[in-house]
Amino acid sequence: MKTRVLLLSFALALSSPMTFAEEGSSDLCSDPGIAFAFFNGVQTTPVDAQQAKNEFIRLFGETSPAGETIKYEVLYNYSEGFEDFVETFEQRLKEQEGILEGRFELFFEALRGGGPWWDQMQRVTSSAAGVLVGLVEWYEAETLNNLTTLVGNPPTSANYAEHRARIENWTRKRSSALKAKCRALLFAK
Amino acid sequence: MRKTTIALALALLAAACSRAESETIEELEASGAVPKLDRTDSLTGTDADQNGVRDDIDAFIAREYSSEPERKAATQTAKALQKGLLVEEGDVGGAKATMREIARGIDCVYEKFPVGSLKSAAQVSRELEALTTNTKIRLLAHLRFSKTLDGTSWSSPGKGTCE
Repeated sequence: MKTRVLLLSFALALSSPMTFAEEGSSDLCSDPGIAFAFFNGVQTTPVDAQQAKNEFIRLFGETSPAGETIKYEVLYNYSEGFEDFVETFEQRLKEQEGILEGRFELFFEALRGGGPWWDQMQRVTSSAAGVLVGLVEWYEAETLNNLTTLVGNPPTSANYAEHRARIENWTRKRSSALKAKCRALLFAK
Repeated sequence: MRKTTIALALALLAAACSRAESETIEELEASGAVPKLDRTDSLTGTDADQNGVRDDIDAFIAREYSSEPERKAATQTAKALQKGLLVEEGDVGGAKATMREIARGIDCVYEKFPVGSLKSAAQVSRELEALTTNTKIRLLAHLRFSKTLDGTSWSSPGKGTCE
């Protein structure tokens, strides 16, 4: 697995364009070794991304088998329309006599299809399961719609100038850039 | 007439069940199975001890995480997440500075909740994010903060990020 990932990183390093200016400073700029660039998945927050990065550190460590330092960096992108989900979530919580109304702490668990707090709610309220199932089905459909929209109207290079600058910087420094596209099925329970 | 009586009975039963279930959720809160949270209208809620973390989140951290290093790591992260709610939309510099603090907090959580801990580091960081964003305005503020970070990057602070 690791070997394949490293090969992928090399392919990216060799194919990356080298036409962007360096942006900012980081010890990634001057330290040779492997740069592990993590692009977060759709509908995820910076907290999700940082957490995923740490899971990758646990999986791959901070030193390669060849003794090179592996440095990790998050390249964050926000999914347009993420905030629109909040309105629908609010409406869904008002269903079933409003038992769960206003409990926005359940939002992120719902996006993951459930969690410990939802489990507790379902244990004592028969209707919570129905609310969660409805939320998950709606969320999956909306995510698919958003992805379709994204493909039809992709972000411009200006949106991601910083990301491109970082990648260019790694390639210029002859680092290996290792790209992992999430949503972290590798470490999902 | 009979149909009306049955419908009325069912409606009353549904209302009674609803009330009973509501009470059961309150019992869950009282037992600590689900957190009992501040749902006031402000972004920052009540923070009587002014440590930068809402008092209900302080109480959750004290109850849920067993050791002092774990609680300190969680508090550090919660404080940074709370700051994120106050970043103005479009203030990329402010958002990046706050994100660095959040990243350091989460890295610290991963250090203090190693593999095999009672709660996983991932679960802890998810809980803290969910607690911080427990009302509509807080959740929307958190997503605005996320949106402001669109297109940015940050590196791992590495080890030694605990305060």
